[in-house]
Amino acid sequence: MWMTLQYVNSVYPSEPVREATPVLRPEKLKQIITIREMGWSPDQDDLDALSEETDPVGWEMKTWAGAPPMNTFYEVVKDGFDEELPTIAVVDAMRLQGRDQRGPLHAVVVTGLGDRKIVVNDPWGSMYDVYPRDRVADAWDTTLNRLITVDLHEQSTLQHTLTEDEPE
Amino acid sequence: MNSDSGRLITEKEAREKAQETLAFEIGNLPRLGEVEVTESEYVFPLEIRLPRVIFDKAREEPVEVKFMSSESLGEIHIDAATGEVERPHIHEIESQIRRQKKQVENTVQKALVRSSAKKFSRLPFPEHRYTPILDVLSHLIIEGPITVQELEDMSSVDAEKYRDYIDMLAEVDLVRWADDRVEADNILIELKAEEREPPKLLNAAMAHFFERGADHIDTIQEILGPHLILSGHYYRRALELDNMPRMKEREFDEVMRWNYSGNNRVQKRFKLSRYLIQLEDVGLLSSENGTGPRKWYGTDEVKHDVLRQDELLAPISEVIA
Repeated sequence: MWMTLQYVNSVYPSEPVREATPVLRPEKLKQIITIREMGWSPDQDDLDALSEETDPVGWEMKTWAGAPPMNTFYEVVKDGFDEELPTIAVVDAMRLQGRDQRGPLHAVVVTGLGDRKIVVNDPWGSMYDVYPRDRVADAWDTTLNRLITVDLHEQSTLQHTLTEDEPE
Repeated sequence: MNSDSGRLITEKEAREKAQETLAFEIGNLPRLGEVEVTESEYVFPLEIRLPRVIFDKAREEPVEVKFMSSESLGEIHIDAATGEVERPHIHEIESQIRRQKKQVENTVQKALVRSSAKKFSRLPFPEHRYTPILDVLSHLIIEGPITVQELEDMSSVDAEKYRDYIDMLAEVDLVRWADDRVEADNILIELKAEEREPPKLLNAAMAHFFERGADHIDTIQEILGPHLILSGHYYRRALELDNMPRMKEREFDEVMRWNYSGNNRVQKRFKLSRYLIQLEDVGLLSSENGTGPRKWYGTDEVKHDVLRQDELLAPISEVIA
């Protein structure tokens, strides 16, 4: 989440959005999203509370119990990229390494998607981990299929304000 | 075993409930194991393979993540009739995980103490908070056997404390009970025959205690205190990385902060430089003073000796490079 805020704050194409986006320190994030010895366990209520603090950046938890419709993972990720926004995916950390074992679940930020490769920013790895395209989808949380999507609540307002403020 | 007949909750529904409990109430690291179906409930074991993120030499960037062996954290029970969920208390799960995390630290410390016992025995003893072991050994070296009467003359708390330490020393054949007194056992007798100078004899006896008593790591941690915490931290990182990281005092300072609290923390942090110098003095660490702050690193000999303790290290072999 910190990585996503950093991105929106410093790289996102709209300057008003960049300027309006706060970068909460990890300590502050931990006050909103509980992180324990056994990891984090955010639900939508937590994400709503976080959204209030990170406005204009909003967060939504999407889950699919059982098998999600085919290509759901890629479609959600692409939808995010259409808005220049990354998606956070909960993945099995061992399967992400290509190991055929069940490991702990772990959140990574999907930052790029090509025909053959996928790029993630992994807090346990690097900012630019490149995997075969299907690796992340295969490692995707097989229990609840969680994805955290990012949207910009105030984007239209900010852009509208910008347009109005522009000198004629 | 389960046909789902007569149950209001199916196994699939029970699993979903257990998964939601795990995801939204417990955390993302544990996983559900194979379900056990009983007459009245579904029981899902909670398992975890704890990740250990390995950082680079400078401890700035993660370079690898390793996973410890699978361990049990308890069970989630789903009532087959009502769907009611029963799970371990969060604090229970947390303390189980802390115990597992501590296992890595303790295992490396045991291997380090056992393999470098002589070096630890050369640390200045007045540093140690717990001196009853030294009191007992010194008494036997200088004055001879300790009588029961001498112990009984103490307060009951002190007498009990000394008896516990005497039992510990007896386990490693340094002392033995003979009738109503404590006397030197075979190892101490043998050491006495080889070494006549009391300070050196005491060092040798302590080295033996560290080497053979490593299983009592809690006691040894109390005796060696910050010296063991600091050197244990260094060699744990060295084992995980498969090289000799150069560690800044800042990292050791963080270790002091994690391990101590209150005024003790303030004191230990203030004394950190001295601890590091003492560890260098006995050959457990070395330092280099190039440009920038002094950096500390281990010795190949110590690391090699730790790695030879393969039986001790077996439980954490998954996280060793």
